[in-house]
Amino acid sequence: MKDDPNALLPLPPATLHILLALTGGELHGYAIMQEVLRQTDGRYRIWPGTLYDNMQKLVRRKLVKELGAKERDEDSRRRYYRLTSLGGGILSAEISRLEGVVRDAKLQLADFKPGRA
Amino acid sequence: MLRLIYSVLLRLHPAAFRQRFGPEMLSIFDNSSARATLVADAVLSMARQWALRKDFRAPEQAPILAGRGPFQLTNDRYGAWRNPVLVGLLPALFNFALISFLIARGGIPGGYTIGSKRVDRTGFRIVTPAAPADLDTQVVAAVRPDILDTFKGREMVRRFYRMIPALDAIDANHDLVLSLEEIDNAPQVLRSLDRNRDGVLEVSECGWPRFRTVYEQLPGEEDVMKSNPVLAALDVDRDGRISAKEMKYSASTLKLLDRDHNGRLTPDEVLSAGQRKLMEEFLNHRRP
Repeated sequence: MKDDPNALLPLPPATLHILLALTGGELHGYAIMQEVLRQTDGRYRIWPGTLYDNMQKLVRRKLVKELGAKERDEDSRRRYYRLTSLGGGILSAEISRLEGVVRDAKLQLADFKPGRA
Repeated sequence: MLRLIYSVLLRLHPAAFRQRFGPEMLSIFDNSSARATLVADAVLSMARQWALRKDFRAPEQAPILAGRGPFQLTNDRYGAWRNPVLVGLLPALFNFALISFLIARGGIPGGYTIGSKRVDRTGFRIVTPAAPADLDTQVVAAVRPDILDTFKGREMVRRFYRMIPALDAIDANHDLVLSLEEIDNAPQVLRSLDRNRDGVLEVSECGWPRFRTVYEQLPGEEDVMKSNPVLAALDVDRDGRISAKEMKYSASTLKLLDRDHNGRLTPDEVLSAGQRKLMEEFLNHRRP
């Protein structure tokens, strides 16, 4: 794991959405997929291959903690994940970065005068 | 069919990835309606894992959980479970303490467990052999089996038997061997030795040596209740006398002395260490 959180930025879209979905609490993989779909109004879908490819990286970098299965879950194959404090910090840093991008973009667009074709 | 294909594709993933995420990916597949897309996703995932994720192929070692001790190393990815440790450790400590307690107190709570020949309440037969007659002199060689074949040898054994009224009485036919029948009859025989009818055999009734001069030749055997194997075995609680309860279970207690498990007690099993030593010296002197 890299010591400087900013070294992980910018986050890929899939990573960003996974971390964002986990801010709501502990979720299993399928719930993360559904949460991402809900947050993006159905415009961005993460498939399992992408989800777990990202998840193994996030767990190894300790941005997400793998909690394992829950006893009373209806499907014992499900494993739950939780955002760590480090993951939360990274997500906050990414959101701040994106806010800066949006702010700059708005300023740029305000001065933008499209030329005639 | 698609599920089968999806399962096969999952199995084609690197082992570390498959073992870690395979079941949950299959769970998602079972809950999803876009199964054809999931199959395509699995193909891409498989290619990605093999081509681009070489660093993740080695399975992660289970962490040693800080503060929980080195004995909790485990292959479980989620670390040692506290609960199974408690479930295993606490009963083990409890059992250890319980058995130590029973052994330390002589093992006869109500005459039911360790040290008793009776079947205990759990249904297990717990048997502790009688303590050696003389813990300080473990020494002596076994009496030669042919000791009873000679007249002098038989007389010597007979003399030793007569020193111990209990032993002499149990050997009803005076053949110097306690047969199974004689052993089984021991409770009645011992009760007959209770001259004062107090239900207890004192040393004067069952074991006081009639020929004290002989015993004076055997240092360390002044206490006949401890030195003679038969009396030591009968006196289970080591209080120097044989109680009614000890008489009641005397047959079972005496059978513990049958070291060679031949169903009878021979002189080398019922005589004291000092007596056996005397006999050995006698035989060696007689047959150098």
